[in-house]
Amino acid sequence: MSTYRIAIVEDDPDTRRRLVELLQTQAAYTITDRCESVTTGIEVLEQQAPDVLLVDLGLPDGSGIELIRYIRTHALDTLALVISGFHDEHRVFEALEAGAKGYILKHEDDQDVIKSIQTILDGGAPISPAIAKLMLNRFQQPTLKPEAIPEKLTERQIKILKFLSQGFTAKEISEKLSISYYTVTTHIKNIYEKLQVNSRIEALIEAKKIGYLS
Amino acid sequence: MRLMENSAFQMTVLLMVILLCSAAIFLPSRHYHAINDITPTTMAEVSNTSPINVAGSSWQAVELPTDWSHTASNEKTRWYRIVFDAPGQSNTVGVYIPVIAHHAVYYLNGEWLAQTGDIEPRLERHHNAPQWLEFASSRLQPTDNEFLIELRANTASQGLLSPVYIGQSSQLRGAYRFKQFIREDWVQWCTLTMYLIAGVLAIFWVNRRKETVYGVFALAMFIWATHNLNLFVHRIPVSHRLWEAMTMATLGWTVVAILFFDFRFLQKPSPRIETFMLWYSAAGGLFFLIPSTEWILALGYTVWDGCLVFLGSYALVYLMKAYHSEKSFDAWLMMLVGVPILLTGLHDILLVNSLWPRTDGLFIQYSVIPTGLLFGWFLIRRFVQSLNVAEQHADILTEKIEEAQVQLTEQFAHIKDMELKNLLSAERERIMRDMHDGIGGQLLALQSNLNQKSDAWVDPLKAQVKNTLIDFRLVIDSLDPLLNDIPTLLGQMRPRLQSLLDMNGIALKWDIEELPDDQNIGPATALQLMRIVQEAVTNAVKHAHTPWIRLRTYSTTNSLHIEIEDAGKNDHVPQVTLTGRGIENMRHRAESIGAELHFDHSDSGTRVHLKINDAL
Repeated sequence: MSTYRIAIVEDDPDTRRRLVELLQTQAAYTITDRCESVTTGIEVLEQQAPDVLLVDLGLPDGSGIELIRYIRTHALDTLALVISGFHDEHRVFEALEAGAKGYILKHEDDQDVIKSIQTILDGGAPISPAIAKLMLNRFQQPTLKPEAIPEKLTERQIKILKFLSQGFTAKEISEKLSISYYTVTTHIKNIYEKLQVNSRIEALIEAKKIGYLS
Repeated sequence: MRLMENSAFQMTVLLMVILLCSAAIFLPSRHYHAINDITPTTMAEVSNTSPINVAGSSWQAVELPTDWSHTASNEKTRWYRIVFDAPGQSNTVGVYIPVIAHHAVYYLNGEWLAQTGDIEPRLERHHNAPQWLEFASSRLQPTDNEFLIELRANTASQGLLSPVYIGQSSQLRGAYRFKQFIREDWVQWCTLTMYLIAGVLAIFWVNRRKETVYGVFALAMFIWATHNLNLFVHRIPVSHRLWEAMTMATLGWTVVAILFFDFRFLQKPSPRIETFMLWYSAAGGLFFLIPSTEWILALGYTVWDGCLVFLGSYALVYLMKAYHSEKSFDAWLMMLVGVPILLTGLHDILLVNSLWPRTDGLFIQYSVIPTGLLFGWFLIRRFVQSLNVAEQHADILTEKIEEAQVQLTEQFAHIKDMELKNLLSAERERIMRDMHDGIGGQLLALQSNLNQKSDAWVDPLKAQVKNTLIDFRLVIDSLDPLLNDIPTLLGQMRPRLQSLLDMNGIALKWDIEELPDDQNIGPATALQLMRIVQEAVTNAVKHAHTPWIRLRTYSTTNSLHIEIEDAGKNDHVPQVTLTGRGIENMRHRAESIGAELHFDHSDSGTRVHLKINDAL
């Protein structure tokens, strides 16, 4: 059985200790490193190249989003998961745009935390109503002109996001739309990818505008 | 107006105009009638040599009117003698000669009587002016008075003398004045007017270059007025040769300009004819280079005028085509006006070529009246239409500006409103984050610490902290501008509700309907309705013994509705619990946000119905 090599970047010692203890109880996971800043996080990524990076967003020397972007710009194979406190949806959404694959809620029970990590590693894509609404807003009110946005949501995807924002589960959505559960989750993953593509394009355009790129 | 636009009527009128003009121009008798019983002298004698101071001049009888173009003589000066008896019972005697060309000196009984202006340096031209002489009857003998006329012309073929009226001046003066008015005075005033019109239109055109019709018409008026000078300018400022060249050229140029006006006004150019007219006009300038007046007249009256007949005929055909193809009212009007021009022009060409009595005088100057009136009306109408269109556009523009101003004002107000909302939203978010990071973090840390203790006395504290966190989350959620619609707000609550229900083995039926986007839910309303829902669900879990709970939302006009329904026994509805703290709190919360809370109880379950008024 393969194990996932996990690195944790969390500056709160209690949360960090809890996560370490929790993951150590699972045979599928191996903790490679634990650190508490962006700088040390980058070192871990360069030296250890973990399979999974659990990253907190609020770090003393910057934002965990920098580590997520580092993974993308250096084309690392590391999966970034955001450690989120309650009501961090806005920051989580930024992290998802930057390339994070999912998020776990640190205030959830241990079982739920493990379940969330496993769901993401299994290819799932958790999405709360607030994040679904953020995604809808993002696609429907883009910062660039509509014709400049490379990825747009399909009608089905918009419907799914609306149901998600209203609190429906993926299973309930599949029943309402008379499609399979797998189709719904695939759509959600595709929405994530589109979000990240658009985000990268927008970043490039903005950088070009302000002269960072020739 | 409808009758005027009827084709049959139009053609009838056109035909009548043709007939009337033709009749008016070609039918009147050229015979010189008596004026107030004074018959004109039609018999005279003519001599090529001067009888003054020369005895024995050779006289030949001649009938008046006499036209030198019909004689073979090369003399430019001829003498005419009329012998008459003194008219009875008159103190003043008048001599009225309707037409001469070009210049005359008058002698009575061997004495110089009068002359029509200067002979040197250039012969004055009076070919269009009637002659009037008046003298005392005491200068006459009872019989055999000799009246001599020394007639001079610029060329041997241009001389002309009409019959002569001799009688009481009071009886002849009226006829002379009438003739003078028709032949000269009227033409002078008309010419002056034409120059003024040309000037005004030229100024207009200079300021609006794209309105070529005004420029063309100005040019036509100017050239025609210049041509008219030949009819009343006696003392010409240039040589006879140049004057005749100018007269000849301006006639052709006038017709060309009028045709150009027609083409431009009707917006139907004829490229080939226009090219021909331009060459024709250029050829007109060659008249000024011809060294001989006789050649100017010969070429002008034949070739030049012949082309004018062609152009005039083409113009009528062109207008007829325009009228026929488009039923153009303007084209019909132009034809009406074109007929007099064509017929008077034809008359004048016949006249100058001696195919029509030259004593008739030229007529084409009179066709300027209908031409000027019609084209003037066209231009005024066009100008007024342009003004009307400009006014309409200005009105539309003013309307649009006013609309735009209103929109701008509304948008500005909206922007200000949005800015305020954004400011409030940003401030709420800031408070939310501060609370989340501060109090929230501390509560979580406390919960984490307590969860590590297993003592029994810690359990109530754990429950209290958990409830505090639940309520804290409600407060944080209510402040989040992202959760400003009920479905998303309830969706955000679902995990916590689900967790509670899962723990108690109760299924959750999530029956959330999409609600209108423009929900008017502020933080206070959001917080209270979340607390109501939380309380209702908690109540149902505690007391209903229900296998499921349904959460439903829907909208009606201006109102939003939330229903929490269960299928349990009616345990929590005894009278005492109607006024229980939980229910009482819910009522109080509903009242605080202007909502209505209803409880429907039956044996099959309970439904809590919250109606939020003015939420849309």
